[in-house]
Amino acid sequence: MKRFWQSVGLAAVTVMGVVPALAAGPLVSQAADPQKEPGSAITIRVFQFQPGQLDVKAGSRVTWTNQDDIEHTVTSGTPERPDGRFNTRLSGKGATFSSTFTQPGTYSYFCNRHPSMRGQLRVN
Amino acid sequence: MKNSFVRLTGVVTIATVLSAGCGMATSHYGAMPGSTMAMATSSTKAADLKTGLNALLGEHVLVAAVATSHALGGREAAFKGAAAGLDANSVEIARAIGSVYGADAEKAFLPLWRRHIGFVVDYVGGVAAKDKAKQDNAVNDLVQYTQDFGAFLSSANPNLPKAVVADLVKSHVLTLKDVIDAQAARDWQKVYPALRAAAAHMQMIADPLADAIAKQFPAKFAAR
Repeated sequence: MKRFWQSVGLAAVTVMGVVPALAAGPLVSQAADPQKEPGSAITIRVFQFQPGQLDVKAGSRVTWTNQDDIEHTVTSGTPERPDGRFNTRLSGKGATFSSTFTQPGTYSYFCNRHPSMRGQLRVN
Repeated sequence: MKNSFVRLTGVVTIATVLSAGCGMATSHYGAMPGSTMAMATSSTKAADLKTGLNALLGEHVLVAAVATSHALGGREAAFKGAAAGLDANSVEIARAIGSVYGADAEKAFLPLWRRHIGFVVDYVGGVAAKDKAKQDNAVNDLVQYTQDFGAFLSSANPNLPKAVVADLVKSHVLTLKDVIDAQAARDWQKVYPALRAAAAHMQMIADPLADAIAKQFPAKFAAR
């Protein structure tokens, strides 16, 4: 019986795609080309990071602002592999988090409460 | 006796889907020639949206109940089939959201919607195992989820207050829980009225959702 419920659980998450590891790659906004600006802003709205992919120059300060009436996090890495660089809770509408990125590279991040929410920062 | 609910639910599900299909098809063509019975027609895009959402959300409950019945009955292959059907329905619901709010919103909605189904699966597992702690955890997750879902829709549409949506989704969760509990108790006399109530409740979500969308985009959902 236990084996049945294990397979039910596995069947459920496999079909329903709940397990983050099975999710597709980072959600990238298709709305616009990546932007390059110092002091750039990322809005969290309707459970999306907007823009989903942002290009900034090294030394830029990036600010995330939560416009959803629910807690989100900005957590560096991916749900499968958080990298510990930053992990901030944005408790509700209006909450912000800022960080300055000095090192070139690609920084993936996600919301720990809603792992399908993902974004990417490219520092040039 | 054990299979009668599955058969009944299957029939109800098919009837619901077929009637929804008929309703949507005749919205373009009106009454069929020679028919003495007036077919329901939708004269506006807003009404079409309402019809479509009601069909999808009602189907969600019916197929979910089929899936939970199979799970509680230990019918693994049947459960997998029903779960696949339930996920297909989820994809359609997300597609309906995306048709209004765009592909990114559709991509954001689907995992969120699927999440509550996962919590229901957890609850069913707890019921089957007679594990009260697991049941309670699942219910807590579902109650928290109502806040997430309310926040999603209120962010997408200012005509949908978060608390109102959360309350409606909570009722959905609790009415479906009644179905699951009746199934688990093999109280077959209780299952049908509970299922009927759970399915009917979805109109309380579909109607205001459709109305709020039509209000948000009056040009898109104007009368023909």
